[in-house]
Amino acid sequence: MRTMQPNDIELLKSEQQSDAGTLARIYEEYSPAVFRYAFRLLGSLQIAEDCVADSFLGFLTAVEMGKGPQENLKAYLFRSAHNWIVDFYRKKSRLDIDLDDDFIDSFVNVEFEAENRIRVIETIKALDQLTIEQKEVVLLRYSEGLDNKEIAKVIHKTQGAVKALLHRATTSLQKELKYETNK
Amino acid sequence: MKRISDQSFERELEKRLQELSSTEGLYPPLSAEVRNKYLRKAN
Repeated sequence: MRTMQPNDIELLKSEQQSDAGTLARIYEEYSPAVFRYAFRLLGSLQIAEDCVADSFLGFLTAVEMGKGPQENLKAYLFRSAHNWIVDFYRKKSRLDIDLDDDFIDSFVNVEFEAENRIRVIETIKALDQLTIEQKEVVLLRYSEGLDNKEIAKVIHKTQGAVKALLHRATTSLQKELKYETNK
Repeated sequence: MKRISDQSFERELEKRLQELSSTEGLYPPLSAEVRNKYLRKAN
């Protein structure tokens, strides 16, 4: 799990932010994670690529206008992707639906030990039982390593709301993955 | 049912999601077209 590094903060504050080499490094560093996030939430390679392209091109436009991120580059990029995804579902009126078919299909061809394959499929299916919002906070927290404050910025909610979403999501995942916690 | 503490379940969840992210070949690569479009604009 990667957390915000000091050089990221320097990047945000320095004049190098608009340097082509720096912008390329930002893309190489963050685009795979934003793509994974978009792909899991959108369930389509093509649509996830559109989301990543628009999010990063929007970032460049903001930098050109001197309105780039000032404090948290990673949260800024995930927030751009989040906004895109919310807009996508709003336009399509497709809330809380299962779009993970491409994801499962892509997995079928992966050479992988059977036991690990079962675990991964179990995890994907358990995630699929969550609402889009719950899935989003789980991915941001446990896959991308954002803390509650960062997640709140990404999804435009309070930290309390994020905590509640995470609680409901983990309770549901415990049930789906057949874990019983000691209370 | 597997018995587990809340903290251990969080670690298990983190491990499972890291497996999803790190499994080679699980995700198709992001196309070069997206990267090229971004880099053209960045230059």
